[in-house]
Amino acid sequence: MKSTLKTIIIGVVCGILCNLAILVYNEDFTFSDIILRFSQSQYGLENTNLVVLVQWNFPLLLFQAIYGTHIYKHFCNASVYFFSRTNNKVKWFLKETLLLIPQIFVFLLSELLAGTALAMITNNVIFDKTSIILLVYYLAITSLWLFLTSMLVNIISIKFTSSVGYGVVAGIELACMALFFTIRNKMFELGESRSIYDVDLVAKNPVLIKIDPLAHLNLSWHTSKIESVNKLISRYIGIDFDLNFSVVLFAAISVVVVIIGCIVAKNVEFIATNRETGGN
Amino acid sequence: MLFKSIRSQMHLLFQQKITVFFFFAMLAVVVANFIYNVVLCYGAYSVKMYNPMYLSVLNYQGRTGMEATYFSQCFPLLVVIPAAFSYVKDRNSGEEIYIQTRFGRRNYFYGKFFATFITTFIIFAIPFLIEIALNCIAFPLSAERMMAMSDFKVEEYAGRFLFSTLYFKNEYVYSVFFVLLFGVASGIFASFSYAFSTFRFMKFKLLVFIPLYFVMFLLSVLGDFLKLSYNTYYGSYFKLYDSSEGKTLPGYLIVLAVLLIVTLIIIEKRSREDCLN
Amino acid sequence: MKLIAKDVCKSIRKKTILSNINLELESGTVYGFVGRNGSGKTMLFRALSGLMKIDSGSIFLDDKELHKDMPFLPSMGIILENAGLYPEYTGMKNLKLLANINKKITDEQIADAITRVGLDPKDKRTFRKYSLGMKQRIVIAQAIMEKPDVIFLDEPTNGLDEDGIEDVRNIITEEKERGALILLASHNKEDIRLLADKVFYISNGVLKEGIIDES
Repeated sequence: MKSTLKTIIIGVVCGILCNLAILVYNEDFTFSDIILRFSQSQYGLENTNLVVLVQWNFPLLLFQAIYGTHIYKHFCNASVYFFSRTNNKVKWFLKETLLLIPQIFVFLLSELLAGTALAMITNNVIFDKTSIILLVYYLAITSLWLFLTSMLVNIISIKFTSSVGYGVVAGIELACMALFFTIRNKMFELGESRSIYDVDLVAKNPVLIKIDPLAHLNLSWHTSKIESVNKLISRYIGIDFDLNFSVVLFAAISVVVVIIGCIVAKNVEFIATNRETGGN
Repeated sequence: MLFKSIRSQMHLLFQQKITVFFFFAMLAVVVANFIYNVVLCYGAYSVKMYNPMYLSVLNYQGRTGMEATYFSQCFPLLVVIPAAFSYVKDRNSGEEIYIQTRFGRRNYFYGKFFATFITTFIIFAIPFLIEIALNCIAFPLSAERMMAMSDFKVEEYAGRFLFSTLYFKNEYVYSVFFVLLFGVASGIFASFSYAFSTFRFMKFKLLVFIPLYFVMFLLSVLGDFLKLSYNTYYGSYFKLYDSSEGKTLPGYLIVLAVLLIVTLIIIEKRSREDCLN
Repeated sequence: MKLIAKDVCKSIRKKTILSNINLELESGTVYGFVGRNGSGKTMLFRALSGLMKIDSGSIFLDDKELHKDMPFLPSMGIILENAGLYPEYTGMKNLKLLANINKKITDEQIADAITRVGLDPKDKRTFRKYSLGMKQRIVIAQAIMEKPDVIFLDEPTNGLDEDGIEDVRNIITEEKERGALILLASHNKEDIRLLADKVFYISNGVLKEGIIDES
């Protein structure tokens, strides 16, 4: 209960901070617009702005920092006493993994609802039917991303320490943000042009977009077989980048990460009682 | 006693493998870039050669522009690694007590502040200063060619550099000054993270990464919300010859000053508390 | 040398930790402190060493007052519960790092202190890999290596085998003969009986002179 409350508070604060700029507007927004805002959809590859990426990804990085010790903390204080009472470490690990999932949904929903409530102060927010489908995709993709990255932090922390775990995962994410510039430069080379408004260029090179994991978080770069959703997204016409592909990809990676986690948890040796301090 | 504390704590920091590794990694990147530039420019006429200052790793406009972008993007994480974890390490291991009984709690906290600042300054400034020196020795100072800007745009682009007046007076002094300021900023950021790590809720080392990154996030959010005409993205301030618009030196210095003041307030408070760990 | 505490009081979150503590301790003497868990022994040591400020009263080392003339005792060795060393370094390396602070002793003297507590200075194992008894021995070595004037020992024989306990008792006796002022807190009645020249009994932060049977 206490941790859920903490998650809600953090989600609300992040939702408010990320969406603060919407207060200056006085317009009509659909709920779909707000969902798309939270998935960094205002920007395309042609005007990817690191400022925005840093802003919108910070809540995800914060969640990873806080829940990156969700499982790892049991390997810190009193680990021997804890695990001497646990017959099956893999079963225990899977149970702890499942406990992380509701926290992720609570966080994302709190963030989204807080941002929406903030938008309603100065704007007119219309709840459209398509937003329900969009919400499902947003929650599916973003929660899977949060799940696999948080689990990675936990697993690397168990093997090494928490600073290494988070440093590696967050470092890769920050590098992925900067990777968009490399992708953009590559697109320019391929297109022999300094303009990426040639949307065919992106459609011709979908692999370059899909390489960057953060691109999968941006709903507007995707397409969808559902017509009403496709109208709202699909910035790049003709690109083969289905929403379902991102869901399946992240789900597959999550499964792999969980399997690795089970192996690590099973094989960990309790030489020291406290992995964070090394012994005391 | 304070000096003894600073000296001892710096000695402790430089005993850590990660600190030494980081320093040599930075040095290796700088040397590799230097060697590449020597090979690239070998035999070239000085008229066609690049200005030595543009050959720096930190130079956004140069060949290493993308590397500079990656480096500046990850900077809030990198700056914390060499020295900011030292208090959490001492507290978690219990070593804190033995060190404090040797030179007192106040000297311990202030000593660690100075040690963190100086160590981070050394790691993030010295390699780039060495690079500047090497470039000045190896490449003709008369070489004027610039990497990514055509000559007629120099005035326009260079006007957007941080403290551009100094740049127009002397590029070499500008580069040195930029690197020194970058080193000081790194020291302040690391010290800020160290100060925050003294809070009890910072149980795990990974949480030490968050305070600085949160400050950067808050600055960019507020910049957006308040529709400031200034650039509040941290990455723009850590690249040499970054020509993005809206950078403000007074703003940069104010942020550094505020972080430093907050750091000192936290440390002063901690030094007055009882050691009950 | 004298360590004097006058009417020392300390409360934490309205709970009295130390109440009107009066002590006059002289060098070359071992003072035993006994009391139940949570009675205030460790807190008393923290207060006398300067790790913890006091709410009222004063603590003097000869004519200098703690927290006024000096922030902490200038020549002190201490063992406290939950205090450890860096897990990634060997015992010798850990002690070298600490000795490097005041630079009072040489590597040979550090090695000598490690040998005195029954460990091998050349042992390549890191602190993380030490047994509880070995950890206890190395922190004792840390407390005595610089030949301090005042030594605080909080449960020094915790986790030690018979030989270890014997070694520690010998060390305490040797340090006393050297002229150190030793404050010893222990649940082990035998330690107090054999080593302490004077015994204090502490209960709920109140100190009184006592004999071992009273505890």
